[in-house]
Amino acid sequence: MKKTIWYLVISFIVSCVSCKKNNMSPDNNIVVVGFLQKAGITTYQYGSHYLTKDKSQKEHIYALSSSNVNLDNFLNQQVRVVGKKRNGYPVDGGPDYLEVESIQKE
Amino acid sequence: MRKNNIHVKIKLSVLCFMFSSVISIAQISPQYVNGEVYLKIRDNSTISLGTTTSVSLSSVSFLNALSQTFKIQNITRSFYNGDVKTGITSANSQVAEAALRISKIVRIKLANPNQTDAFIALAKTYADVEYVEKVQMFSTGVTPNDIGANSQTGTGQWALYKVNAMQAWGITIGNPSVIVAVVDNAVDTSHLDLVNNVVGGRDVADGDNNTIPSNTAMNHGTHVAGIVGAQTNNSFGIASIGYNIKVMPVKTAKDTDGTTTISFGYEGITWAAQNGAKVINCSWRAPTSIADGGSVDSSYPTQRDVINFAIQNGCVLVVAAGNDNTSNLTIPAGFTNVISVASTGFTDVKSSFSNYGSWIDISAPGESIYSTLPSNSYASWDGTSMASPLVAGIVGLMYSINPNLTRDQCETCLRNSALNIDANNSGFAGKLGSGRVDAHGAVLCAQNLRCPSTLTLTTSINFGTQLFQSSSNIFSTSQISGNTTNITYKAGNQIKLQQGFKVSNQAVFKAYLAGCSAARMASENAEITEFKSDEISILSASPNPVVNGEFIISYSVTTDGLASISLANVMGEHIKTIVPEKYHEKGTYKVSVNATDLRNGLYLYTLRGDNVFQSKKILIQH
Repeated sequence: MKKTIWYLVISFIVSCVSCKKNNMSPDNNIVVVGFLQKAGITTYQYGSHYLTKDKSQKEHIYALSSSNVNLDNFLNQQVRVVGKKRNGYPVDGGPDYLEVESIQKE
Repeated sequence: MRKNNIHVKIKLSVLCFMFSSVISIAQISPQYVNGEVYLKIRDNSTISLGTTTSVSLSSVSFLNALSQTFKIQNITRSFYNGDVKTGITSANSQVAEAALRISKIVRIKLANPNQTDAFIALAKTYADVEYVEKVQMFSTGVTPNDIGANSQTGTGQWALYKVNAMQAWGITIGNPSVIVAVVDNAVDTSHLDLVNNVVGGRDVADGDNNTIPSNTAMNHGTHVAGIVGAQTNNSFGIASIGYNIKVMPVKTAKDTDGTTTISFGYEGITWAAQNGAKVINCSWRAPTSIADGGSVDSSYPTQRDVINFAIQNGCVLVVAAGNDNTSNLTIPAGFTNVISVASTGFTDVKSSFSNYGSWIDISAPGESIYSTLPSNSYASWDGTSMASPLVAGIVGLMYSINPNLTRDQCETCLRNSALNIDANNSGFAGKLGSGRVDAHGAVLCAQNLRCPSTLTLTTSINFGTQLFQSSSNIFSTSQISGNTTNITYKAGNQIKLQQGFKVSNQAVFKAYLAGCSAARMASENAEITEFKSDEISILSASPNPVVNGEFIISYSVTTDGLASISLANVMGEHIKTIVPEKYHEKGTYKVSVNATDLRNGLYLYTLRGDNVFQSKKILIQH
């Protein structure tokens, strides 16, 4: 019984730390804020769009694609994106790759 | 007895395996033993080869007939040894049948290796012949001291093992004159494993010659460059597929750009094409919404024109397919005239990230690829960006062994020698190009397409379709006859039909000043059709090149008759008549030509007559 309580306590702490680190929403989605732009030529070669931290930054912090929302409607805007990380990425020296489930102007 | 049968069976199996290997490898254009063929006599043939390994010509009627056209130097039964002899009489019918089959294979050596193709063509027409094919030559491999283990972890370079790089290096370790451009964000040319294998490059984004990344995170191009051409066999770091070939770094990201952005990719392609690159690797892409089966050529005209420019300059473009795991086309990989490369893993299964589709040309290892990074470091990366430079390096090796290879020949060799991996990729059959690249097969194929600088043809030909190619000269005294004969000569410089050369009315003969590559200097328009001659003609011009606006053509006519001399450009378009058609008595003539009205460039001057035809090049350089 004592062991089980300890296990639950440790699991809770680990899960909280993990949530914080990945900025996850309760349903394991990731919530990211950034400046959305259409993907041009990239070396990492995935995603239809990408996020930079803000308009002034050039580093791609996330590659994005979506089958739920039209990301073109939010081009060149600071947005809050909710999505899931795609398995098997990042590759080719690129950023994490998100499948966007919802998006709103920040 | 049972033990003996098993023994015989094992040996026969080994022989069968060896022979089936010969057959399967033969499909990828291997290297062959000059002038030697394996010929199999049908099992049900009444021809008896006797009980010895030597075969007399007179005992095989069709070989005797063939020897009337081809001088046969030697015939042996390569596989007729003790176990095969025993096996023929085995109680085990399968063993007996297998032994009987290979006992009926003879190895034939021709006196003139140039006749091998013709011999095979004619031999196949005899009913007693089951098959006949060239004898393959196996090449030994080269193992550099920095190749690492055949492993996907640590410093392992499994991809080089997978594509049979060592066997390819047994043929060529790359010619340093062959340059592969790495058009990428930046390349750290100061890396100790790259510094000795790079040529001068360009930062086309910032307009200077410094291709080193502005920060270590701009590392993509350095990883790609190492795959193509890290210094190999230097007891340090990694080996590269290109071995001795050179890397041309072309930086296409501004120093102030993001580390994964390519801003001047197409400017980079153009610069590479203009500055000596034979192969251009592009490990980058832009997405499109064009589905598989569509075309990007009309939707992206600027990019298309740049690609075409590079190809017209003799370059081969190798391009990563992209990492979206979709079949939508990307650019530049989606353009029809580039070699687009998908990624596969250790077991030849499509990488989960790799794009795919009918627009892919070939696949290559692109997982856990260990290569160079800025500041003398190394790391393993995944991506089609890693698969593409492996193919680009192989293409570099192909051009090392055969500089005259055309772009189309290059792609055909890559495709035909690739390992079909459809069975490993359920749902992606036909969507990973021709299969996983095989460096050995591709380089062998390129080697087999080499053509000599000078070809001297003396053989009489009376059947079949044949092409004789030379990068420079063809001298021929052949007699070409027979209504099923179709002979073509292609030479880069001169086709000289010497005394004894004759084409009968039934045969078709064509000659082109085009060489064995798709030489840019001449076109198929410079065709000579249905030429018939049995006379010598002599034609020369001096000085050549022409620098003072005038040159003299000397020519000889060896029988009385009509003759003329004309000048054409390298496209075969008539420029001027130098000697109008007129009756010439047998003799030698000279004519002065005013060239002041001709623009600088290469021209063809041609002597035509009732019984003569000769065409040569002259360079005008005012």
